[in-house]
Amino acid sequence: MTPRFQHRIETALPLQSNDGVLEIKGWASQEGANLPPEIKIVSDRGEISAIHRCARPDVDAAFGIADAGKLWGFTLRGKLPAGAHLLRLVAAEGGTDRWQTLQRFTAVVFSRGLQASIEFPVDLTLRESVRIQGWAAHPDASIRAVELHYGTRRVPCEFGLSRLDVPQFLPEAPDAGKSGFVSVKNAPAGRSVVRVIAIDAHGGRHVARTNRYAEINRDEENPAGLNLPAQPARLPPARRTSPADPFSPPHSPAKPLRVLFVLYGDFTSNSAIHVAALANAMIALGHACIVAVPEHAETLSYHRGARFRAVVFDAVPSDGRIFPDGNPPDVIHAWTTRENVRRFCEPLRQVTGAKLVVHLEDHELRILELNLNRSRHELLELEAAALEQLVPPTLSHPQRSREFLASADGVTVITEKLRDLVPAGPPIHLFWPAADPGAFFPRPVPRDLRAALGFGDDHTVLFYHGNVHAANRAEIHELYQAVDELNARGAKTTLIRTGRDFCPISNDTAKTDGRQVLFLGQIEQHAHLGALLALADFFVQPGEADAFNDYRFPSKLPEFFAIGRPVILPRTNLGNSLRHGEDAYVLERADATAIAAAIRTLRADPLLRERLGTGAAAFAAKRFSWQRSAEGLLSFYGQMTSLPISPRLTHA
Amino acid sequence: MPEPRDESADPLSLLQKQLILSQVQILELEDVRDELQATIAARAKVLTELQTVADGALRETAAAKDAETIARTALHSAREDAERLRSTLERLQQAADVSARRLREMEADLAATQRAVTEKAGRIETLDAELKGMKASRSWRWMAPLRSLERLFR
Repeated sequence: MTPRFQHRIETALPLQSNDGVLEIKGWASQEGANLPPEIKIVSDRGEISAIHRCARPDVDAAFGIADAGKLWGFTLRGKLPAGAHLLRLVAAEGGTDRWQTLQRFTAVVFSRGLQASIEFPVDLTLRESVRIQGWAAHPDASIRAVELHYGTRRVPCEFGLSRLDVPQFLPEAPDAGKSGFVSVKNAPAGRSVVRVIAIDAHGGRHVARTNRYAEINRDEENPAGLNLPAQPARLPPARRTSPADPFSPPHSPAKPLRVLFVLYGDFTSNSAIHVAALANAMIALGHACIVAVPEHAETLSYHRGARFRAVVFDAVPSDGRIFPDGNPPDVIHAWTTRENVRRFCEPLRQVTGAKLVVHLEDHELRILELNLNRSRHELLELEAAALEQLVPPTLSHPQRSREFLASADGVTVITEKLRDLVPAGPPIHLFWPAADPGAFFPRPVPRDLRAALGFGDDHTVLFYHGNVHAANRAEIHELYQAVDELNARGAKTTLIRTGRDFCPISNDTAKTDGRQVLFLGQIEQHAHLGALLALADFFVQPGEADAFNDYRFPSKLPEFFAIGRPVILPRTNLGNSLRHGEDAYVLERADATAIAAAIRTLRADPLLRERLGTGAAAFAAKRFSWQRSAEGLLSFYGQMTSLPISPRLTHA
Repeated sequence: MPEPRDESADPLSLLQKQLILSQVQILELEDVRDELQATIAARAKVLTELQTVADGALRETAAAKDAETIARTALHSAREDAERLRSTLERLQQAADVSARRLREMEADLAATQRAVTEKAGRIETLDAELKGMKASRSWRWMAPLRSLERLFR
């Protein structure tokens, strides 16, 4: 008669092991039998039969077993090779070999990875430049070479020395018997945790952290000794950890909108920073957003954590149905009147019937003048065909841009003055840009890194992160000249710059020797700029009130203010809304002389510096918020989308 | 794209730039590390979920096999019962056939008996009529005293 068993596995399933050892606890009994059954675990790659038994009075009680105290409980423990296993818990009546499967289950065994140990020197802190000895073995791989890593040091080792002890506790390792190593030279000076790096026969790298810490200050190349800092100087973390998503939506919107933003450049542009922030905020508020760019959609990687999808113009079908629900956009937000944007948006609007909103962030005509080096009068006097040839896709056409604006269902502007450039008709909405609160927030100066860079307390560090193009090259040149002037007068000053130069800052190439400018180029992740900005003492936005600056809002200003440093800027655009000496240091004209004078004043007045730093952070907290800007913009969209579709448009 | 231009070839400036850029690289590597940790955690979670699904499927398979065994046993038992019932039915059918045949025979006998009875009844009726006729005849009436004397001397 076939025996009948009862059992329960009490180890939580699914079963996983990080070190190759599996342990399974439970109980098993046999109906009508006084003795516990034989138990083991079987897989196609081995058995686990090592068992520890124990009494289970709860099982006695549950089954009304009068003869209590039998060893129904079991703990099975054993090793299996790395991989996924299909296991069977099997039982047999005592003394028989008729195994029955009680339960099938899976187990995943992760390799223990490289096992290694340093045995000489014996101290946990290695202070002497001597040969380092130990062993290294991998349970699943054959090792070809071993190195020791600590800090920037890479120390090759002779590997394959005989070890009779390692096979005792690592029998599965192919090289256990020849796992000894010794460094080929005395350990060089360096400071950090010591790691063993093993290269296997297939070129794979395996890392094992040891319990040794290298603090070697002296070696053959540095007999006098090196002063190695306990902790390396570091930039602060790029982002602060925040327990809550800053854009947590309070509820789902009553009417979710589908918004298509259309950029004139790729995602490395300053405009993309604004669009990305707005799109992320709108998505967090429950709406759908897609951003279209002329090309290079892969530059979206510049905005790690972007919640929206990026598409190139050519990939948008003519019916505009690009949203996940198969619908076209409700709103097309054209980012400026640049020709490539206009040519993309107009037919799409015709077909989809979407509301068109055009964004102005600059005096487009002024930018056209500066780039083409012609006045607007000269441009307007040209024949239409000639003008057509002259205006590139990445700039605005003087006439078509105006028509584009006039035809819009709404216009957004970034400064009040831009309202002057909007033809009568469409409603206008003003919003200010902001800074990513996760990356741009009040940060202390990383003094140790500043010291490592050679910037003492008497050294002024400025930081400017922005591209240089025809429209602003003269201003940046003023900033450079301010740095030159300060250094010439003995006030040590360095300007750290990032970004791209689309044109030379000055034609005076001779005056570069000794210039204290560190140009880092484009930083791949915009979010990393916050940590870099922390190096600065002050921020400077050069320029003056003119046809270019009056109509713009430099996108780096909210980021300057958010870091909590004194900001020096001219009385134009944002400068018109700031209190001098409280929110910022406002100059009538931020040219080289004025900038240098302002920096000297701030250097001499620590109380003013502190007040302006605090004031800058407070102004940022109060006035710059992507969430508020997005909410305002959504409300503006909502007003438009509740209106009937313009009779000027025809549907496809 | 224009390449960044160093404003100064001063070795210190170059070193400073490299130090800052290496710090930026550390930030990038930290980002990659964080992404990898998140990816690893997500994949570990998926692995656990897959295992849970697999274990569940194994339990269902085992339960299905048990159910199949029970069903097979029940089917076998039912087939045996059915066989028994079939045999019983066959026997009963045979008995019924015999009974039917016997019934038909009895019915035939009955019919024959009925026919005989009918015939006999007819004969009785005839005889009865003859007897009545005979008893109604004058010779019978006239011989009645002689039958009485005969009965007296019998």
